[in-house]
Amino acid sequence: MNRPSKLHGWTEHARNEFADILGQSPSDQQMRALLRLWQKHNQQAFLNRQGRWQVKVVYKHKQQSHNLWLVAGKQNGKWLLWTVFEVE
Amino acid sequence: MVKRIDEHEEYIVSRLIDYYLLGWEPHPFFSPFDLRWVPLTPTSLRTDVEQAITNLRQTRLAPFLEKAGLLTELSALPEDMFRERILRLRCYLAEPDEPSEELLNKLRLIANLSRLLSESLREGLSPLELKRALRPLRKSLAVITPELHTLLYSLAEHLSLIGENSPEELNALERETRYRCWEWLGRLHAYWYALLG
Repeated sequence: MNRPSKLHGWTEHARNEFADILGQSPSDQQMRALLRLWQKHNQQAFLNRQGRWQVKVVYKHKQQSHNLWLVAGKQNGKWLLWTVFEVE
Repeated sequence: MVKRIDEHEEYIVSRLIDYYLLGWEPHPFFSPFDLRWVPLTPTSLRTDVEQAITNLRQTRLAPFLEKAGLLTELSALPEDMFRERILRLRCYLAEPDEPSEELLNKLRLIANLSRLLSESLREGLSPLELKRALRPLRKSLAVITPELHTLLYSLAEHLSLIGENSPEELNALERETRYRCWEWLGRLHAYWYALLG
């Protein structure tokens, strides 16, 4: 399975998970920032045990910084940001 | 007169306390795929623990019962207080010295997490209910037991698949969550026994 170099969007679930991490609902701009991080770091992505591509990135916004794992999955033929998580 | 107690009896008391605090009794033929296995209900064990402690009152362990606050009417103690005192006794059984607050904090947290995961398996909590219940404990784990970072990773990785709008297939997610609970319990209990013997 080829590693996606670019994601076409995100699942509603990924947005909810990101909201949990940030403590507030992310804007579309913030979600797009995650897609750009994927584009920048996808070469380091690996296949996780669910058969999805996963990579670790640093997300910075204003004074905040988060070490995030981005997970990409395919839905209806398109690669999407499937979920996102942070290890405390 | 001090009644004699042998090592085997002490071992049995330690195990009973562990089962009570962790909400878990390893099945002799334990397998995560054995559906006959049922996690314990801690409340049903309390009477057994009280009886075992009462039997120790005339033994060499009496001073430790006193230090743990267990030379009293045990059935009258509220659950949290009883659990706290039993935990202290369990520490004395592992090492006859005052346990550090750091050790007690680790053990309290492991016990709380173990009871929650056992309850989830026993009561059949939904993945979403489990995720919500785990949230404060995950934050505590990061602070109190940073050495369990790989467990934190496993929790974060799996729980990131659970949500009201999760695109995962629900039955598969429930099944996987159940297997993960077994795995997390195994890791927590290995840590508990590494600390206490």
